[in-house]
Amino acid sequence: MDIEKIKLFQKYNPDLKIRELKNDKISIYVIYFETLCDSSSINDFILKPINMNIIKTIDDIKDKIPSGNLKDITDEKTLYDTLYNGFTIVCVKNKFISFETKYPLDSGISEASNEKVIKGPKDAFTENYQNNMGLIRKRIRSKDLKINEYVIGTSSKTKVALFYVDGIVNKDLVNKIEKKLKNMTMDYVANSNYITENLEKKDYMLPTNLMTERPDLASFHLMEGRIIILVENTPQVIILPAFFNDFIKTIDDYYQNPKNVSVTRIIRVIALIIAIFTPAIYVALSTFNQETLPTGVLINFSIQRGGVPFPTIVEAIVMWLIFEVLREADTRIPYVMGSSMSIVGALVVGQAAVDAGMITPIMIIIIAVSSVASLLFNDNDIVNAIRIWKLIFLLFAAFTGLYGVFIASLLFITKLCSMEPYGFDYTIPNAPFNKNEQKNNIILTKKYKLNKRNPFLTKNIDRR
Amino acid sequence: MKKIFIILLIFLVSGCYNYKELNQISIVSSIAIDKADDEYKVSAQIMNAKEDEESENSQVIVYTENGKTINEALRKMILKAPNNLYGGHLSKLVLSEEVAKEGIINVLDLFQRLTEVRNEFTITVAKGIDASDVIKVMTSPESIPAEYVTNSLKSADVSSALTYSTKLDEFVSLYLKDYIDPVIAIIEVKDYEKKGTTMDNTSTTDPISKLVLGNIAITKDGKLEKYLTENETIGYNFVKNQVQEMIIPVKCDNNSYSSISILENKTKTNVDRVNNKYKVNINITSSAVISEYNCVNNITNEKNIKKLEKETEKKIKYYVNKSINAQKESKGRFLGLERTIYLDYPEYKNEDFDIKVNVSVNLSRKGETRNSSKGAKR
Repeated sequence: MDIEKIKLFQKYNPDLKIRELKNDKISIYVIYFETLCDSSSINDFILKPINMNIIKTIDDIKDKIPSGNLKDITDEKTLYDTLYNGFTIVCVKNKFISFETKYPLDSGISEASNEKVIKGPKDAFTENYQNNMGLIRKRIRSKDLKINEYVIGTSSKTKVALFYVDGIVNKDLVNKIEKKLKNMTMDYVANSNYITENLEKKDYMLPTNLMTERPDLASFHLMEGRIIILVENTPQVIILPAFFNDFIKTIDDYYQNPKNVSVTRIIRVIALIIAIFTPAIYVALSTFNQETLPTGVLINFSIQRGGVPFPTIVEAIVMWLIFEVLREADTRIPYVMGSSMSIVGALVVGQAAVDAGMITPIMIIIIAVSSVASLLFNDNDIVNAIRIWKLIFLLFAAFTGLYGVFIASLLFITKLCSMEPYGFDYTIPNAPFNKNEQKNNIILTKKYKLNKRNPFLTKNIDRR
Repeated sequence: MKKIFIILLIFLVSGCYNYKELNQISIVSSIAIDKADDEYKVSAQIMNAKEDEESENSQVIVYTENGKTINEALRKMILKAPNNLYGGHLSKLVLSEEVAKEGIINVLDLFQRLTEVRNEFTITVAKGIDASDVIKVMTSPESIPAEYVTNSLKSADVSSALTYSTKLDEFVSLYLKDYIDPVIAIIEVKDYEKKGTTMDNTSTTDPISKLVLGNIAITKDGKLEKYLTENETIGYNFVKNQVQEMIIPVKCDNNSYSSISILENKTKTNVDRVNNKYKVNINITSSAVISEYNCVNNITNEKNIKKLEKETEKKIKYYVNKSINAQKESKGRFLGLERTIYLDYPEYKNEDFDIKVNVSVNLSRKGETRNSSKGAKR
C-alpha cells in the first residue's frame, strides 16, 4: 500500500484527486473523490492546517486537524471503502488517515409524493440514509429503539438498517429476519424491493409488506411491534409483516374523527369488492344468468347490445386492456403530456367506441367503475394484485357464469387464508378472530379505547 | 403445473354450458293462448325486438303460430323471430275464455316443466276478446304492455280489493289441494280496434284501445267457472284475508256518502262443531280512517263515529255475504271455507255448514277528525 499504487488507480477514476503538498521536505498527499466530497470542508479543515506548516508527523494530523470522524487505515480494502464513502485520505510517509468530508448528494426532506394525506405531517423519507434514520429517531426518542446495521451487496455495499422497539417486538421474528439479512448474498442493491424479495421466498401475488415513504407510518408500525427495514438510497421503507386489512387502512385514518373514518373504511371495503367483482358479475348475468336481472334492466342491456359485433367477454377484456394501457402510459408519461393523454383516453376510447357501435356504453361504465374503485388503495402492489384477480374472476364468469364467479371467490378466499407471510396468518385479525382487534379493523374506535396491541404480533400487548 | 392444468380443465370441460348473448335472445314477456279449431293458437310478445329510433325504447312485436301443443307452436315461431325465444322473464299468461273453460290446468304443464321460466307469472283470462288481441294493445305510459299489466295488477292488489292476481305456483298448489279452488284475474280491452296496436295508441291522452283490469274469475276443477262482480270480489278478498288497503263508500245521511279508508285488515276464520253441525266463524277486524265526509252530522261527537263504524261493518258484512252467495250458487269452493273445516276436522265430507260473519271496525285517529265544511257552517 503506497501512494504510487493509488496514482495508478487514478487512471480509471478521473474524479479521484491527489494533491501533493510539500511541507519541510515531507510530502503530504491529500486524496479524495471530488464527486463525493465537500470541497469547502476539505479546504477549511484539511488543506488550511497543512498549509500553516504545523504538520510534521502523522500524529500531528490527528491532533491538529479538527474532524469528528477520523479513522486510521491499515489495509488496502478499507482504504478504498472509505474513499468511496466520501472520506478524504491524508497520507504522510505512507501512513494513511481518513477524515469524513461527505457531501450530501440528495435533495432535502420533501413532501410525500405518493402517499397523500389531508391532515397530518407532510415530511417524507429521502434517498439519504442518515436523514431517514433521523426522521424515525425524531419520532421515537427511546433507548428501546434498536437499530442493527448490515452492509449488503458485494459491489454496491448498501447499508441496510433493521429497526425494532425492544420489549414490544417479537424476538423470534427479529432473529429470523436478522439471519436472513446476514446470509443475503447479492451483487447490487438498487431498491428496498431487492431486500423484500429475498426475505420472503414464497411467491405471493398480494403484497406481504408495506412500503412507505412516510416516517409517521413507519414509526406507528414500530410501536405496534413490527420491524422496519431501511435501505440506503431508497426513499421507501419496508414495514413487515403486513396483513390484508393493513391495505384498507391509511395513516391519516388515525388523524381524523374515528366515526367518519369508519365510514371511509367501509367505502374502501365496498370499493375492493366492486373492483374485483363488477366486470365478472356483469358478464355472468348478461351471458348466462339473464333470469336474475330485473326485466327493465335486461331489456336496457339487450337494446344496448344490439349491433355490437363482439361477444361480451371480448368487449370486457378489450376495455380492461385499454384501461390498463392508459394507466401504465399515465405513470410513465411526463407531466406536460398528461392532458393530451386524458383527452385521447376519454374521448377516443370512450365516446368514439360507443358511437361506432364497437363497445356497449354499459361495458364502459362497468370497467370504469371497477378500475376507479381499485385505484383507492395507495399501495401499487395491491392495485396490481386486484387487477389480476379481476381478470381471473372475469375468465371464470365468461366460461361458467355466476357459478364460475362463486368458484373464483372460493379460490380467492382459499388463497387469502393459506397465505402465511413470515409465519403470520395473512387474514389476521379476522381469521383467526380476535375480538379486541375489531376496534381497529373496519370500524375504528377512539384512541383511548385502543389500549391493546395486536396479540398476534406481540406479547407485550398493553399500550400504557 | 398440475394446478394450472386443473384450472384450465374447469374452463374446457364446462363448454360454456348455458351461454347466450343478450342480442341473440328474444325476451318473451307475455304469452296468449287461443283456440283455433282443434289446435292452440299461441301468441308471444317479444320485448327487445329492435331499438326504436326516436325514443330509444324497445319495440314490442307479437308473433302468432298454431300447434297441437303449446311447445310446438312456440318452437315454430323461430321461423318468424330473429332469435331463440327466452322465457326467463315471462310475466303474464293470457288465456282466452274458450281455453280457460276447457281447462286452465291443461295448458300450464309446459310452463311448470321449462326450467328457464319462473313460476311467478300471473295467469289472466281475457274477457270478451281474443287473448292474442290483449297482448297486441300498445299501452302508455309504460312501453311494455306486459310490464304495464303486471305493475297495475300489483298496485291494484295493494291499494284496492277489486281484483286479485294469482301466480302460477299459487294456482297449481291451490288446484292440488282438497276443498279449495283458485281464482284468476280478468283482463279486458275497451274499444279494441286495429289502430290500438300501433304507436298511435300511446301518443294521445285518450288511447284508442285501453287495457283494463277486471275483477276475478273463479275456477272449478281447473276450469273457468264464472266471473265475479265487483262486490263479490271485495267479499272474496275480505274472507281470504287479502285486503291491504281499500275505500268503502258508506252512507252517512239520507243522500250523502262518506269514504272509509281501510288501513289494516285482519280476517280470522275458525270452525266450531255443535251437534254434528259445522259452524264457520269469519272474524274481520279492521282499522280505518275517514278519508272523505260529505254529511252535516257532527263527527267530533263519539256517538256519530260509532254510528259510522256500525254502517261500515254492515257494508263489509254485505260484501262478504255477496261472496258467500256467489259460492253457493256456483257450488264452487273458491272461498276455501270447506278447507278450513277439513283442516280442523279431517273426517269432514262435504256436509252443509253454517257461516257466521263478525265484523268489527275501529275508526282510528279520532283526534284528527273534524266536521265537514258543510256541517260546520250550519
